[in-house]
Amino acid sequence: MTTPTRILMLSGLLLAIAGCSPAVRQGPPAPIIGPGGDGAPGPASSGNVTVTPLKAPEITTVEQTPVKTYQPASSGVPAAEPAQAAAPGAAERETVALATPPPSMSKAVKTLIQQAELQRSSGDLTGAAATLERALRIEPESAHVWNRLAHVRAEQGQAGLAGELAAKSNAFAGSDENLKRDNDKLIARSRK
Amino acid sequence: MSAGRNSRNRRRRPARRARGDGFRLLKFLLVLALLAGTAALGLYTVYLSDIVTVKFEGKRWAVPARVYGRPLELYAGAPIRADQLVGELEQLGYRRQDKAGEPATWSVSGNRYQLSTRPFQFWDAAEPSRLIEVTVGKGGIEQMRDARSGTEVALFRLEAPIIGSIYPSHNEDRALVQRQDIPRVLVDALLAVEDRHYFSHWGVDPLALGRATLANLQAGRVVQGGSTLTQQLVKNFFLTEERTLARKVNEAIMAVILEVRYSKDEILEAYANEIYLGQDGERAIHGFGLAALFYLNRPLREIDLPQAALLAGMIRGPSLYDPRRHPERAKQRRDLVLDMMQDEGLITAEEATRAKAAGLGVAPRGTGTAASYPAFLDLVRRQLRRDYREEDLTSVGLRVYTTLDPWIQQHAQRALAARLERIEKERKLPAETLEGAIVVASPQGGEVLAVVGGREARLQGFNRALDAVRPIGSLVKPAVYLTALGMPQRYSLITPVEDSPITVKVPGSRWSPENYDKQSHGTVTLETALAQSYNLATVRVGLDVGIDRVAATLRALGVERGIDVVPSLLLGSVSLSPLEVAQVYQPLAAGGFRTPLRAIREVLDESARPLQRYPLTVQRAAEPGPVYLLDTAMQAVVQSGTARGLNSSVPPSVGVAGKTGTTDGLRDSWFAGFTGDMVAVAWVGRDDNKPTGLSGASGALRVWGDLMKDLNPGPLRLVPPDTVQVEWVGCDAPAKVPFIAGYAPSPGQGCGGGGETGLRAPEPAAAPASPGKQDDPISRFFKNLLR
Repeated sequence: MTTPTRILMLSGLLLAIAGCSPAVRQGPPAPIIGPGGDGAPGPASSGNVTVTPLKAPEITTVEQTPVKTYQPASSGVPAAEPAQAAAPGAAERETVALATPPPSMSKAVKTLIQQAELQRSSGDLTGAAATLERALRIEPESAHVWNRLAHVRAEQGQAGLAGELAAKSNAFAGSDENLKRDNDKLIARSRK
Repeated sequence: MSAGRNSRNRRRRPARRARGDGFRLLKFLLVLALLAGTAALGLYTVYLSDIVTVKFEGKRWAVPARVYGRPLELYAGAPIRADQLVGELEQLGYRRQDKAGEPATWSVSGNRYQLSTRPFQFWDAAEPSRLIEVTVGKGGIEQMRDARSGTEVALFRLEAPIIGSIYPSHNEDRALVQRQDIPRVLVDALLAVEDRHYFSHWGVDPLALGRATLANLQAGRVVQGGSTLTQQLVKNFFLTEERTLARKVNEAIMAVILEVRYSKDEILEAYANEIYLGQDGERAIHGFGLAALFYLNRPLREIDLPQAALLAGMIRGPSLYDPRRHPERAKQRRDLVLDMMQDEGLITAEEATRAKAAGLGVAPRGTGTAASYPAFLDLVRRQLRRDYREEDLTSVGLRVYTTLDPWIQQHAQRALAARLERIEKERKLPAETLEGAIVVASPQGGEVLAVVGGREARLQGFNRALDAVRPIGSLVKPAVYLTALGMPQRYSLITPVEDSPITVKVPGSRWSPENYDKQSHGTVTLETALAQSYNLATVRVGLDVGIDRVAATLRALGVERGIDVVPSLLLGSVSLSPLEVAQVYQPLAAGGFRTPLRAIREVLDESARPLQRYPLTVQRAAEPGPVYLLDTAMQAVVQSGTARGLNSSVPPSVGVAGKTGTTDGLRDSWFAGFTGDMVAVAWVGRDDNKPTGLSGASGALRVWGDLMKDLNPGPLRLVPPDTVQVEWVGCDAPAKVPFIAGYAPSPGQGCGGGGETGLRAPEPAAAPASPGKQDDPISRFFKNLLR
């Protein structure tokens, strides 16, 4: 056996050992972008890394979304409701359709209100609230949108916040007596 | 002969046998040693293999949380002018072309802009790439339609701009890419310059590794220069910087292990994400994904041949070939890489020539991920730390969608830096002694739109917007007057108040405040007292309504810090940060509804699945009626009071409401105010807290004005709530004055003679106490009111 041959054998042996070593491959070697990848740099999909937000200091300032069941709103599949949202739902739903958007409202906001209504009626209350907040960024002084958001919060069982949002809606309601009456109901309910 | 031969043979045989035995023994020992060595090496290999496997698979790069600014919402009626639209597109790295085509391009013809957008995953939905035509007029967006179908588009949001990341303490930042995101041109350029035989010499013949390694081992030094990509990866990934033979051996073995266990593409992907490509202050730029964003402001998959050559060329010396600092050298290096690619037959001579003619395509600092908003990110980080573990923030690739408006942020940075420099020059102050901070938020939504922590906004350091806690001076006065206006039986905007010397007993001594101009102004209306920021009148009103009530008002508006309930509180002895002041003024800008200021909208996990929202909440902090009255008085501050200098930079039609603030010895210069769409606070002072010689009006107000000047602020339209009635007041020149309903003087009252004004006299503490004055106080305060 020549020295080189031996070295070759040795190398082969090494490789064999390395190849058979017990550390079993468990997943992709390097982080891989998940299905949500987009034009922007994507984060790693972890498979087994989970992030759970720590308990929020103020429960009213943070919404936690159950991660596993969420589907983007555009897919038509309702998002999971936050745990506390279930109870007062059905009773609430009938009162919501009351207010009709004022003619002065922009198409952009009308579109968002329709989208929010779809989300709300399919039970995606978190999504509906997010859409209404988006509408408020466009028209922050829309009494109608504040009223809708109040209803979504009421439906989620957040009567206190709903009352405050309704009061905020009243501040912009002007002469819209129907809207004010509806807001007053929400406010009255929040004080029970 | 034969015997001789035999004997010779005999003689020889033992000798030969002895030699043969010796050889066999040697051989045996050698084999034994080899076996032992092999076993030892084998075990060691197993050990290394474990390390490699665990690290390669288990480590997963610490992927910093990626932070995004707000997406720009486009819709007919949006107050977005052409300069902003183009600015935002440039920020996003969109390229202007004759005709918008592939994603991230745009074109313009007249006032019609065509945008081919990048797809983007938002919190609630994935927005696909679209070709949109936007018609932009002087007042903003007039019309929007889908350029392909021609149908009207009601609403569209551009992708959210990346504004930074939250990287771990070792400061490695990266934006991971997958193998398929790495363009072919980059792989070609990379292999041409770093490892020509990458795809053949490792995978096809793994034994070549042993041969090469042994060549190095035998020589006792590295004879085969130029590490392969795999070795470079191993070196970066697992090993330290020391240059020893042992390390080299480890490197080789680990490289073999990598090659055996993982595919070329997997290793290439890892390399592309690991490689160090430059420095941005403390932040180390790792991986091609981030490098493309950092240097070129575009996703890796969008880079072209010259840009690929540029990035590949930088590996050898990221700071040496930094295209921002050494563009000439970087270009030479890039062109060299292009030559090598041509030599390898990867590109044609024609392609090489064309690529060499191209500019470097480097995005200026201040765009994309090279933009730096450390003060805002600091706020985001603090908010996130309440809700997330540090290691999750810095390692699992969270996506954080924030409220930052880059357009406003950039204006704020520029306004502060430029104005401070100008003031220093005008007043012959030593250069760079003034400091400042700005906070901008949305009034109704409480979203933090911009945070500037100092005049060098790009520098991470003392964040004055959050941490410069300074006495707020006269900024406290709206709280004093709001408390008073909440007692309509005692105070209205036209209630006469006495601006005359007053001495207050405080424990152990006496306190005698003075006016800014050291003068007394006699009897004035409450509104004038606020508009002119009269200290003496304010102290009288404050003492009358009660210091504790004023403190309670401040707490209701959002002050969370402890407040000393002492007389000097009435002139702003309480210390707050600019951010806290913004929180206090937000309810004043929102009809009395407090919305906790938020910097974050949503957090998504690494796979873009929603984790958490920070919802919009409101809470009544003050009655809408008194807030309305106060707001009109704060408009008078700008129309005719201490902030009237603002009218030279912001059109009076905007109707800004605000308040100036100045502290003892001119140490702190403040202005806090709001328009229809922004509530903003500016502070100017010195880090060593020495006097600046600036009042609120001569310092912070001018910064504030500069900020608003170019932002096209929305007008403040105050809507009187039901609890407010507006009456004509005054005789010679009547004016409309709002009152809390039921507390207005009857029409015509106050005319034609002395005392019968219908106005309720204030409580004794604030009652006129200057018998020497002969003027009819009522006609005087009407004069004040109307001037």
